[in-house]
Amino acid sequence: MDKGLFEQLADLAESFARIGIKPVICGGLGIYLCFQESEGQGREMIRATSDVDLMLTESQVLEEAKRQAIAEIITAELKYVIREGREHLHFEKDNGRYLDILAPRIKGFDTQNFRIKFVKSKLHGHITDEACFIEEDLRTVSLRQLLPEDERSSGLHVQVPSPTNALILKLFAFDDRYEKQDRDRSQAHAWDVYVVTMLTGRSDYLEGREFLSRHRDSAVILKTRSIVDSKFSSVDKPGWQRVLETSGFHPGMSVQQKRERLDEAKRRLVRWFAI
Amino acid sequence: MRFTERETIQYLKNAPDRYAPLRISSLEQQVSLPAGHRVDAVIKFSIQDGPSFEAMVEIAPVATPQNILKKALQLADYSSKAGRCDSVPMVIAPYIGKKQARILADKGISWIDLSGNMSIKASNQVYIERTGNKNCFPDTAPIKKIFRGTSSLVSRALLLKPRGFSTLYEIVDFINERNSNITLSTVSKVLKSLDEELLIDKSKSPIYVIEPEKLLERLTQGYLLSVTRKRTKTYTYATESSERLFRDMCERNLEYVACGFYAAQIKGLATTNQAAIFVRDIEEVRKAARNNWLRITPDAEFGNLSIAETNDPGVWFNASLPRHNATAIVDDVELYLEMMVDTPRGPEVAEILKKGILERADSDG
Repeated sequence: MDKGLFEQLADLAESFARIGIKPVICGGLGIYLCFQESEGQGREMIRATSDVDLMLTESQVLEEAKRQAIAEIITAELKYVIREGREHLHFEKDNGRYLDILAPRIKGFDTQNFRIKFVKSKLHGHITDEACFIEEDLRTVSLRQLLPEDERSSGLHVQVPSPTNALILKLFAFDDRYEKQDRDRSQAHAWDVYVVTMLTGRSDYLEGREFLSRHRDSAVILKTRSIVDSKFSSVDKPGWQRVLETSGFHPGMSVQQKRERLDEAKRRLVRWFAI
Repeated sequence: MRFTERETIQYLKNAPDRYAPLRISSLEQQVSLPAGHRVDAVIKFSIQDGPSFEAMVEIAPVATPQNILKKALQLADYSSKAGRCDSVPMVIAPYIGKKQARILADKGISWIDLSGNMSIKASNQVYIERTGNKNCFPDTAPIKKIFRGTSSLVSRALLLKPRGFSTLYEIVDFINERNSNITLSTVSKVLKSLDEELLIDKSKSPIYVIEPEKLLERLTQGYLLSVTRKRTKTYTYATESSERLFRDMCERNLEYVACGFYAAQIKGLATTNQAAIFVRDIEEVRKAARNNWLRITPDAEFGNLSIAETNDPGVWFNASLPRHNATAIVDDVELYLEMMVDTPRGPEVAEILKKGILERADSDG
């Protein structure tokens, strides 16, 4: 991963810490942060990414003052500018440092299509319905290991979704891109599903079981299970086939060996969401 | 296929193109030199449209470092005493490895191998160096099995006690006192091979390792070959408490030893949430689990304990013993070897272990 990306993250974490919150990081970077110290097979497969997906959670934006402060940090303090055509959702600075804002649907806020408006004409979020439980089992990650030479990094923290929430986000993202026949993006999301599935341990699984038993009847969980069933329940289903088609997937292995790896991932994923 | 001296010469003669631009003009075998010496051959080489030179040749069908060193010393001696100052001293072998090439360069001896490599210096007129061709005769390479299985225990013992052993019996006892079983004859054979490889000195007491780092390197090569050959079947179980499980195993006399990253974690060198152990008899463990004597449940997907059955003597040699509150762990050399092949994270841990193993050698040796 690019060191500049970690510095971008540290700036964000430092500014957010001043208003008493920790940034919640999703997407490829969130997966990297969650599993950077994991020893499972697949760790070396964590995808490199160049953007920061920042999830604003309900508790972070409930107070008007906090919303204003977040908008101020992003647009004034850290000097992000809006990206043309993606106003107030996607930001950029220093030619290529991207920041995308996501959020679950939160009652009481103006929404328009896929937008939720936190601060009018300043800060919006891309509605991510499947992130409705994102605040549960969040993991806190220190930035010290990532930026050992940066003195401030020892006190800086970000949060990342639990493996179950990461899987839910990635399964929905895969499903969306697959239905839109976006081959590249669906492949990237399927890859992330594989990586998360293989890097999780027993304690993650047990935590996931409790989470799923709390929300077993929710629409999001039902939909997640249907995606697993229709697209990931056998190695020949499109989810795993996308991974198999990727040139970087264990290039030294035979097709049979690759299928065995995917079968292991399939068994884990199916069991994870079997309630 | 292992060549005789005669076959080595024949092979050389039959493949002149392999050595172009060098050509053999004449070849005489078993040539007597003044002062009662005798060389395997005297060969006249020429270079097309260029100079020619004569070489007195010793053939090394098995090119162990010790053999090569012996031949090099012999040729250096002949050169000075036999009055053939114009003759280039040369060794010919099926394959000359890097270490052997260094020995020959140190002694100023030219060489050719049947795999197409050569390093020749004839006065100031001819200098040819061609390396990088693969060994076409791997069977002629020194025996590598000394670094695998029971034989590997000798090298491991020498690393554990770099000050050395006064007798072969002492090595046998040292190994057999450490949860292993080796015979005097095996120790003797392995020491002979290690001596040929110039890795140890057994010419006088004590018998000790000359190059611990090289020895560790050779052990790693042997280990790599053995793990590539036999993949151990691993069973995955879920357990709520590894400590409790190991206590129960200890009480039921079920031998186990922690390995891999789990062992590295116990030694404070890594972190993992997956326990991993070797056992002598997986059936005994499964039976104990079925009878609820051990609190483990088979869980192929999310088990946090991997169990593999092995009788590999390296795993059990010098392993720490299980005690009531202490987990049995493989010894540092075994863990080093396991970490070396457990990429990508393992080699980093191996580097730390290597320091400890070699520092012990430095301070003791």
